[in-house]
Amino acid sequence: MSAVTEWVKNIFIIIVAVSFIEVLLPAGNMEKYVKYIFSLIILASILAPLAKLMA
Amino acid sequence: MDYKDIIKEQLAEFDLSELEEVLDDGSIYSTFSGVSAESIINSILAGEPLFNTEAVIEGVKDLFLYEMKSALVLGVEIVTISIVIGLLKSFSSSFGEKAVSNLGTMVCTCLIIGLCLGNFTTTFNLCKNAVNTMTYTMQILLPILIPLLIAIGGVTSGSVLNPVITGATAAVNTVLSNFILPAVFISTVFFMVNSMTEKDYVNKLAVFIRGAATFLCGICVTFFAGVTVVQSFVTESADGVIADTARYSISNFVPIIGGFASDSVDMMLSCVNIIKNGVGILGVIVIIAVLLVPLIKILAIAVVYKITAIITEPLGNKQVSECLSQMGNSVITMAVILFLTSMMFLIFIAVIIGIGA
Repeated sequence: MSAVTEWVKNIFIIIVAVSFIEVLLPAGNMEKYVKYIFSLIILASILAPLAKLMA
Repeated sequence: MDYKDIIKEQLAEFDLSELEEVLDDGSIYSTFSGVSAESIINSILAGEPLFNTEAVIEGVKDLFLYEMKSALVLGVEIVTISIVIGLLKSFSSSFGEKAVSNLGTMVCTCLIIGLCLGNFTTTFNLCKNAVNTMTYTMQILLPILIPLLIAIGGVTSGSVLNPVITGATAAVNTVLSNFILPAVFISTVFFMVNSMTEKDYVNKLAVFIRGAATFLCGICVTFFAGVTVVQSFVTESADGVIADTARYSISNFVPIIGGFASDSVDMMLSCVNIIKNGVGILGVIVIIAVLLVPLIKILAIAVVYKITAIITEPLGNKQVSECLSQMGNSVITMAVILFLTSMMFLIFIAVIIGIGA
């Protein structure tokens, strides 16, 4: 149960942080690449329990 | 000796105070508070209705309106914040930089999520408590009903159904409070965090978790209720054979008074059967009374969420409106889960009442 709570908490915090940083990002060439990397980070945090399961 | 005296005498032997206490705690505006096992059995014998239907409907209506009023505070707060968000958006051009107004919108969305999360936690605990109280009621009721069932000759039914129903009640309680209700909570958290951003990050995940929880609940209820009902069919016919054999052997093998003896045995059995059904009906009423208050509260909260979603939609904030609508759906899912669980408990009691009828 605590592992599930940890997982949900991580996803919640990462998405809130990412959405705040996205707003504050300066407009420029690199913007879309940074956003893409943020999506990858969220994907990683969603799939994190899978990695633990495999190990 | 009159049959009513027999029933009264035997009923006096039972201790039903715990069951009636649960009923008094959970009932709405004392609609059910006058109900006891004795009054139910008396009205069954006299052929009167069990309780005043108009008073019950009136109580339910009053409770719903009262809960709507107390949940409306949350709705008004959310609508106010949404109006502020709309203002911020329309002023965004005069701020010069768009980031400032975007940040303001995001902070306001955070506020709305905080308000919703607080309210949803209350609803979640309400639902959990209701499930626990219903399980507790079943655990009080079974040790009273099963001996009565055995007393009317249902030896096989009693010995088979007791472990089945006790196990099913405990199992469903564990599954609900450890897996299903937390899963609904988690999916709601995902819906809320999803409304923070313009892109959908975890929308599908939230839909999946909620669907899985509902599916698991349906499977659990169908499985346990089905097993119990099928068991009761089999054991009832086995008991019928035993009872018939006993009656036949008394009336034929006991000389002279055998016929009278078997008739009076029949009368005793049907008296005990009336007591069993009276206690069973009391159990049904207790479960409905325990269910009714949380169910009405949850439905009132769901209606307020849906109405708030309708109001915030024209204010121009799609994410907040979508989030509120999904919150409403989650709350309704909780109500459905609560309802399904109580259905299963009612089926258990109905099975016990039905045997020997």
